[in-house]
Parts: sequence; C-alpha cells; structure tokens
Amino acid sequence: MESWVVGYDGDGDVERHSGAVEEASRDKRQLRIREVSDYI
Amino acid sequence: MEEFEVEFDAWAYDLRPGIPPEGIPREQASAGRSYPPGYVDNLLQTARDSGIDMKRPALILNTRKAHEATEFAKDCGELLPFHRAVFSAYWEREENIGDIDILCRVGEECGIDAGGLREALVDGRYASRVDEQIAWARAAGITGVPTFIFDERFALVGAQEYEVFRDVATRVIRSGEQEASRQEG
Repeated sequence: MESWVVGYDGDGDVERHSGAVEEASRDKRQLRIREVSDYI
Repeated sequence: MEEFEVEFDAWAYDLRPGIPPEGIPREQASAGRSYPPGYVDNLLQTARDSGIDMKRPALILNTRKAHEATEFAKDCGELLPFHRAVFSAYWEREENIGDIDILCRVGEECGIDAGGLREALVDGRYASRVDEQIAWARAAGITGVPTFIFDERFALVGAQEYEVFRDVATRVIRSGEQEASRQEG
C-alpha cells in the first residue's frame, strides 16, 4: 500500500513515501550466482 | 550485472582429472578431439572484442592449487579480483597457475597476503573444501563449464551474451517473487 508520511520525528522534518522506497529497492534486485568453473 | 545486486560465488570444477603437476601439452590433451572449422578463431576474436587478449596456452595445467588459492581469496574478501586475475594469468599471459609461486604473486597483486596464501597452499588447508565442491558438481550432473547457478534454482551453461544472463536473472527473480507471494497468500 502506498503512503506518505510528512512530519517531525524528533530529529528533524521527515517526508517518506513508502511506495517510493519499495521502487528504489526494486531497482537493484538481489540475486545469488555461483559460477562452477575450472581455470583451464 | 550492474542492474542486479549479485552475491557472487565461485566453486571448483575438475575439468581434466589426473593432470600431473607439470601439466601436459595441449596437443596431447586434445588428441582425438577436433573443433568445427573457424571455432577457435571465432573464440579468440570474441575475447578480443571483449578486451581480452586470449592466447591458447601450450600447456594444460593442474588447477588444484589455483582452486585452493581461490578459497583463500574468498576468505580474504578478494574473490572476484583474484578469480579474474587467475584466468588472466593463464589465458592472457600463459603463466603456470599450478605453481604456488605464481599463485602467490597473483594473489599479492590482488592485495592478498602472499605469505598467508603460501602457508595455506603448502598445508592444503582448503583441500577438503575444493574436494566438496568438485564432488557437488559431479553429483549435480554438471558436465560443462562454466556453469552458472542462479539462486540454487536455475543453471546456465557456457559463456553467454549479457542479454541471456539478464533474461535468466529476471526470470529467476520473478519466479522467486511469485513463489514468495504464494506462500504469503
């Protein structure tokens, strides 16, 4: 669910957009790759 | 693969079991085998196009110590540079990567403690780990290298175009996400 948080968290002004955070993490998708190889 | 956050690992494979420490001439190793016309020239040209000055080293070497050194490099956090440097030492400079002195020099060039590496190789500290990797590959039915295992779920065999890697990576990630959402639902 997309949401905006705008306010003050005790340390300073905050503005968060949860949808934007999700998109940002999706930009770099995690993957494990194992290469099985020999050098010759 | 800059568009993906890849956790990379490299495991050993024994492509030519039984090679003596001094290696064997390529002609001897290739006896009875032949490539299609133009195959080797095409391979070398493809490497050149990628900025790799690939040769055909005269000797086929025993890579056992190179694999053990790779495990040491992994523990030092220098897997990728060392892995690349060993390939380069053999295929571009035709160096004997079965030789501990050569491996220590290559390691040092990658920022690895050469003394520590030498000790590990002489002691055979990583021998069992390499044995386990080779046994795993055999049990998994891997017969060609390089083989790339994506998220323990998909194997891609051979040197492929980047687009192929991207396509497989995208599919594997998507199928993982679908599986996760099924489990959640």
